[in-house]
Amino acid sequence: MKKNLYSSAGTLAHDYPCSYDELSKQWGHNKHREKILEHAKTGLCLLKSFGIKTVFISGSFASKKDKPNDIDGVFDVSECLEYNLQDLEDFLENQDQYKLDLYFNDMRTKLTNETHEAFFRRGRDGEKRGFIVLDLTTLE
Amino acid sequence: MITSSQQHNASKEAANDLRKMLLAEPDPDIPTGLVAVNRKRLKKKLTTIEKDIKEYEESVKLDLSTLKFDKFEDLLKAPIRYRLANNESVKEFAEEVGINKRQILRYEEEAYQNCSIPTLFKILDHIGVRITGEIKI
Repeated sequence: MKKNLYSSAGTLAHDYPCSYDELSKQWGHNKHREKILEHAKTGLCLLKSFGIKTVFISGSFASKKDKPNDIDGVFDVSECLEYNLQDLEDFLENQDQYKLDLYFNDMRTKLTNETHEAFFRRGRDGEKRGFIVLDLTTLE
Repeated sequence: MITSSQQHNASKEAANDLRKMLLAEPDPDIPTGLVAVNRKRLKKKLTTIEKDIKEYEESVKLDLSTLKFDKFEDLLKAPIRYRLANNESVKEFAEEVGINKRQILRYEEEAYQNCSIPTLFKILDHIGVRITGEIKI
């Protein structure tokens, strides 16, 4: 684990770009987290098949917490607008089974503007937290 | 569970962000069905945050003599609700129950779900919580 990865609030101090393997190594450090990743991998593979290249993971999974409930995050839906959107809709409806809680930017604003990003970047104590920037193209 | 005024403020800001996201005009390039699913989930998230905010606001003005719980999960939250109702800092509470402050912070972080039963009972005993009730089978 890199030094100064977390702020004093226990959340990521900066964005952390990584592959799926690195995600498993850095954030799958106990049985509980391993189990979540085991479920999530199937869902993330599905998301990749819809054309999504990056998922910005936040919430307790991207923190020091030993027992997060699931993996929270956000992605840019414009990456998959030419794919079968009915499948994406089904996936979003049923993503709990993959221990995922993902959202996309559905407004005219870009992901990097306010609102969606501001919301997911706000930590429990109000601190601005970093994302695990997961490169889905590394997922096999 | 929200355990400080700082978290309370952050949660209120998060709820406001979510309300804005739910009211914002959707991108016309995204199919309405897809937006509806996304917003349904966002709404659910907002409901959870609003519930947490309400629980915190009730806790800080709670009359401890009326503290009741029907679920084990609520019993686990009793030390937090006691501390909030007495307007105690984590440090003050830690000293009162004779447990390290960092450990209390770890327990509060997970709403005491990571606390052993003997330790929980030790804490409850220190703060004068007596458990009565019945087991239903």
